[in-house]
Amino acid sequence: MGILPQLILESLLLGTFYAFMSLGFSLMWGVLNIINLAYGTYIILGAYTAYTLYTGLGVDPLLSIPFSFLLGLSFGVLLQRVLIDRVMRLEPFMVLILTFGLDVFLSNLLNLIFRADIRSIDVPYAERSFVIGPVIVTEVKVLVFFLSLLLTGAVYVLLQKTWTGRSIRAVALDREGAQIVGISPGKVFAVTSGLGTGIAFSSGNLYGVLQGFTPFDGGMLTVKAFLVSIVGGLGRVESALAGGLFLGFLEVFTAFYLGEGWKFFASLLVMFLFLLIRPRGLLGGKYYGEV
Amino acid sequence: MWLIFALLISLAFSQEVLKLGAAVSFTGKYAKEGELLRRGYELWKETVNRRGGIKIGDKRYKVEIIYYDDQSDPKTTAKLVEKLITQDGVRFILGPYGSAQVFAAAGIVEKHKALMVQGGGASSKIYKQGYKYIFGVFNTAPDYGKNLIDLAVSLKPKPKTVAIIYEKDIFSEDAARGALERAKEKGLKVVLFESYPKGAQDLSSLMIKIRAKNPDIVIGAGHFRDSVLVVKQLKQFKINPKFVGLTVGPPVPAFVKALGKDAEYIFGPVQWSKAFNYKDPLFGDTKGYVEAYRKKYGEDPEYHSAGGTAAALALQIALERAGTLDVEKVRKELLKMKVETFYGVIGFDETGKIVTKPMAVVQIQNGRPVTVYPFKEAEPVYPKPPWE
Amino acid sequence: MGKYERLIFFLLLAMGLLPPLLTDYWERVLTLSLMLSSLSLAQNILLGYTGYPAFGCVAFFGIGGYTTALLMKDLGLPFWVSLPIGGVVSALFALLIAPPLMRLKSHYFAITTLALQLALGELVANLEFTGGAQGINLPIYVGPGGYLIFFYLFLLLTIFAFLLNVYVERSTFGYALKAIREDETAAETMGVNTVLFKSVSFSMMALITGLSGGVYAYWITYIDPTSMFDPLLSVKIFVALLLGGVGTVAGPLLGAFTLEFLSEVLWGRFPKVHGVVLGLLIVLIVLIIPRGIWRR
Repeated sequence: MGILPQLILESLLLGTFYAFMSLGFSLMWGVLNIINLAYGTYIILGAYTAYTLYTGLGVDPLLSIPFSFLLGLSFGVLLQRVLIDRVMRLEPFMVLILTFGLDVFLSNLLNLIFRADIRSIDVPYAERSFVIGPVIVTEVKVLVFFLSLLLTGAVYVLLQKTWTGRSIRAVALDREGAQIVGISPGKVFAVTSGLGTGIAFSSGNLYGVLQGFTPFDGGMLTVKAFLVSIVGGLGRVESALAGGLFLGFLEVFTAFYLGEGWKFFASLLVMFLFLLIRPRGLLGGKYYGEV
Repeated sequence: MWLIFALLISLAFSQEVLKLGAAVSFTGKYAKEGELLRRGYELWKETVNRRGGIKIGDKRYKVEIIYYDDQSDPKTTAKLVEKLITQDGVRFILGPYGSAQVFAAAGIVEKHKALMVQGGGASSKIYKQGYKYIFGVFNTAPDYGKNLIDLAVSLKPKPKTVAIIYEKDIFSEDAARGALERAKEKGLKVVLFESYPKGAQDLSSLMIKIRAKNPDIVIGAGHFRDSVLVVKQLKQFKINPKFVGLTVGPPVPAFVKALGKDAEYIFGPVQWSKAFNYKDPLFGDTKGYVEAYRKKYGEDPEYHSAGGTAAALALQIALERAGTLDVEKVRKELLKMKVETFYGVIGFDETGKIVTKPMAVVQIQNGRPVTVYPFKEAEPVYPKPPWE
Repeated sequence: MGKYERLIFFLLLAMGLLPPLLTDYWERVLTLSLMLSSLSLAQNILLGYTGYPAFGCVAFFGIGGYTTALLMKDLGLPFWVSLPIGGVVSALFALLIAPPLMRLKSHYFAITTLALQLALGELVANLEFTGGAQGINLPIYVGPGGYLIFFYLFLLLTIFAFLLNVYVERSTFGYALKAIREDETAAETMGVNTVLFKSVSFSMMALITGLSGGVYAYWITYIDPTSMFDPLLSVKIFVALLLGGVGTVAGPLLGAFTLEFLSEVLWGRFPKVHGVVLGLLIVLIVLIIPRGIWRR
């Protein structure tokens, strides 16, 4: 037995959060064929939103998730309409540079407002934990786990059961075909971007509860979202879950057996290898993002 | 009217201005320590200027310090120090906070043959580069770890096992190695010696390891933010060692503010404490310094501020003795120096590091850091009671 | 060389006469501009003529820089020996990974090179012999010319990169690359050994980028993984290219000088908002002049 149950538990809890966190990235990539390098900073924006509401008005970061979502939704739609629509017809790598520029802009703007200090949302239940047999469980992680699961489920239902969701999937599978049956891709792009950004913002609330953050942590989170998307395959909830759990296990086990320092390297290495060998991902279906 | 104006102008011109420069962390990971360092510099500057400035040769110079924020990032420190020297024309640099920052700045200062006196970096690596223009008033980092272990093994019942975790940073690694070496010498069993990356905000996997080993002593070598994080996560994972020692944090007033009751009975090494007792050319003595600091900032000084003041003071004394702004001559005075100050006796070896003062250890008791080793303001509380 | 290429060549040579007129500050700005010029010209061979955006080209900057630094620091080799080795190591590494890497295109290729860049940075940060995350201090240059030597080194490198661009623009080798850019499948059916040509073009980029990294490391004296594998430098190279115009010999120079001047002036005047404005600038350039000032 030993330490293994503890590690598996940590991986599961963390992995589920990663799955939810990356859903937006995966959707945007799958549907819009955009690799959004600003995505991680969207998450950080969400964390700062939660932080501001908590320190300013005393709103619990878990309760302000809907607010973050709506803020992200509007932000995403706006960005899509004002910026991204304009460059989508250019080379895809131009969009890459555009989103990188956006990332530089947003993270430095956060740095200007909040300064480079490490912030954390110190909720009163942050240090609580309980022991079951060989494992110790921290309450926040469990809370975040259940919320991630719940929200991921909500996105799943939205994509599968609603008209909007079906149009999104239709555009992802076949842009021209969807147009023929009367779906306007422009609208779907805006909705997807909004939904994706909303997911990023709301996962920021959860991230902020889990650990401290600074304006410049976005890049690392983008890499994580990228890894989750590419391992699982694009634009589908099931794939994101698979990818999220993969990343959870990868991080926890690398950190434990090789040391904390190797965690990020391991993610990057796997990402690099996947791109070289199987850019469609393990469970990759036929989506726009295909090479 | 014109007369007054003319008088003002002549006054302004009768006193020359000496521009010093410092790139200090006002934001980022080391924001707390950086702010304390700046306070140390500012207190020195105001005191000197109130006395009519620094007398160099037959001129009196009013001191001005140009500050930039390096955002706790060594590469930015390097860039800013380069800017201070090439763009702002500063020849005398007051050091940044953090060994990595000092290390980065040192190369630039040396390249331009400017001069830096610093009270913010303790890594011994700084002094192994063969640099000639870098002086430091901090005992080197291994002393942090050694002092903690020395104190721990002097306590009853004697602890047997120790876990050492450290931030991957030249200061923290150096301090951790000091602890490791001393722990082995004293026959302690080292059950864990492991690093975590700079900027890590979640140490769960390390905590899981510590929890499995259940050591008597936990030493955390990192900076202020790490120390707060380590305490929070030790508590979160219900790990209850008998002795918790953290290299940076406990003496800083913000430490107790951030952790409240959880800060109680944690040990931390200090470069200087107000329990020291020395004479000083500028402040009278250590007590005088403590009072001046209290008057200006409303709280007791701790070693990060004192280090800043001491570095600036050493530079001032060297400038006055050299009687010129010539870098080479000021450097010679620093090498010759052996002077008693509120901070202890300041004297450097040929590599530029201070070799003339002791360190101490404090423990948080009733919300205040008190010196417990080797000078005793109070008896150390041991073993540490479990978290509430 | 064509008429305007000759003009640029002489302008570059004439820049060598400038230093006596420069203050420390302007010497620094020009040195930085030349560094960015060499990097943009290097990327131009790949992106401009071959059509592959190596967004993570700074990986080779890091390889060249660290190789040079470690050879000097650990083996005590002189800079003049370490630098070429740094460049060659960088180019060889590129040659090695090019065949599998260059099966990917457009933003997939871009992001994969970026992953490589970040992964190498993390690797260097975790290894012991590279000095880890703490970085290393290089020996300080004490020779003829003082720190002006670095201005001339970057100038030489820029001239070298420029001539290489002119060569690619004019030669059959260059025509093959352009064929790949326009339509890789067609090029292949016409008998162009695309893998070989792509790989060579990739390592040409890596050679110059690696050399540039080596000179930079010695110049700046303190290097760490985040500064040698900095994604912000990657994006600056691309913005310089986009600003000046991709696939021309003059564009990269124009873009690099414009961007570096803008950036330094901003940095000097408003260090606090520098990042915000830089980000905004990138966005605006992509939006407004995606094809550059100097059109192909």
